[in-house]
Amino acid sequence: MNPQVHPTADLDLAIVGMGIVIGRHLSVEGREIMRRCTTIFALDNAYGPDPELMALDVPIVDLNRFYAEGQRRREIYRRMAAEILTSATAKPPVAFATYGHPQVYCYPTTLLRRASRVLGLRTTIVPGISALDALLVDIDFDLGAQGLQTYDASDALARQRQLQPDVPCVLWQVTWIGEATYRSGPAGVDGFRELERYLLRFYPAEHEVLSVFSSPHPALDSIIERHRLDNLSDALAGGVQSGTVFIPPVTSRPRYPVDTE
Amino acid sequence: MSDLGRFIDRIERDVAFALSVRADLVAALADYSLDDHERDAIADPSGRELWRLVGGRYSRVSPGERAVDVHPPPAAGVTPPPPPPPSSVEPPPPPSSVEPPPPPPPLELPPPPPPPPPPLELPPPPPPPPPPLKLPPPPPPPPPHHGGDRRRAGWLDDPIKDLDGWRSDPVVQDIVTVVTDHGAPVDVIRQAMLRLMERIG
Repeated sequence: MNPQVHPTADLDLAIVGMGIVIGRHLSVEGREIMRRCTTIFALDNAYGPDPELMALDVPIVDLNRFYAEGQRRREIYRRMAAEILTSATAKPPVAFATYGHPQVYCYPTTLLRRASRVLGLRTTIVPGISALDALLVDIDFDLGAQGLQTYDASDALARQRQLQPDVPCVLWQVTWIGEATYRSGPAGVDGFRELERYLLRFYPAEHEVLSVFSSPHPALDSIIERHRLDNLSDALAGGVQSGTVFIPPVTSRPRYPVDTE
Repeated sequence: MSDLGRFIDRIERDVAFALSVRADLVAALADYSLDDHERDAIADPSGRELWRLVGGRYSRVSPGERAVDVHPPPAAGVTPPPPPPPSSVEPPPPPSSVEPPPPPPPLELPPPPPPPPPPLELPPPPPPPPPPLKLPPPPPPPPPHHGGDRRRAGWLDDPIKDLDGWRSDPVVQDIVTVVTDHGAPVDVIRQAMLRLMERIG
């Protein structure tokens, strides 16, 4: 038996990743845990509730209602976590089902982990297929050969991370650069321009970067757009705002003999 | 079972599987939580239209026409308009004469590649490590914890590193008291949880 799978009789809170594609990515482990919960708190990817979730015949609470235009995202996630924890203490076990992977850019998971430790709640986390997993397939890339550097776009800018141009790079949350509040509309061009200027310190202007929007639904194709780096800001402002940018390496690093004996 | 029986059995299973997959897909699309006025088109999280329902299937909207042209769905019982005809593409002109085109100019060879860079010198070996520091005695083992979160010790920014500090925080202690009071109303617990979130998140 997988030691990470806990019988729900000994569980207060399950945090489950639903994957990227609606109705296709939920794992057997996640399904088996959630079907024994009293309530599922669901956070979908704005493309609708997962039919697999609804088929579990467990009451579902939609957490998307906590999103409010102009409100600080951190505050939104606090309210989501508080709602889940209230139910976890009153009528356990409950599940928090989030799209993607619960520990890949999912702040409610962090809050729930901290609170569980303070409150003594018995908690388990079930991984899901993350946006990175889907991206690797979409761009046909194996990170084993050249490695991978990956940053939150705002964090990379704020800390002036030193990118390695010989290592493939994934930047996340590109549409939220410098923004702490939630908005439903498209991002303006200012953040993209900041990003473009920053990237031009490490890559040539003609370098081709990819904007990747992995399919969220079995009936839809993923979208991959290629842009010159010096046109990235305008392209993102006027095109698909997926929030994920892949930058192929522009150089290679010499390899020294390594004694593998 | 005869070969024919196995073959028929296989066909039946394949057909059943195909039908089940189709049913799943139809169900998924039917449950699609798009608002009615958006059902003909699907947008990215920022609201920009990316796919449009044309001829019964979703097709990628080309960047040139990716505007806000989200058509409302037809009223019940109204036949939807046919999909737009494919954009007219003029056929290439027929060959105007029998004369063969002039041969292309000879290709210029690219300049020879630059000489390879000189081999890099390996950095000098690192200095010998300093003598081992006298480490303090290891802390007592943490109390057994319930649950299955995958604990990682020693991370620079471990989100649970302040756990002991939180536990001794009087505000947190007060919250824990409220939460563990089995007679407390749900609204009181919810407010306490919100206070806890502000304290630890």
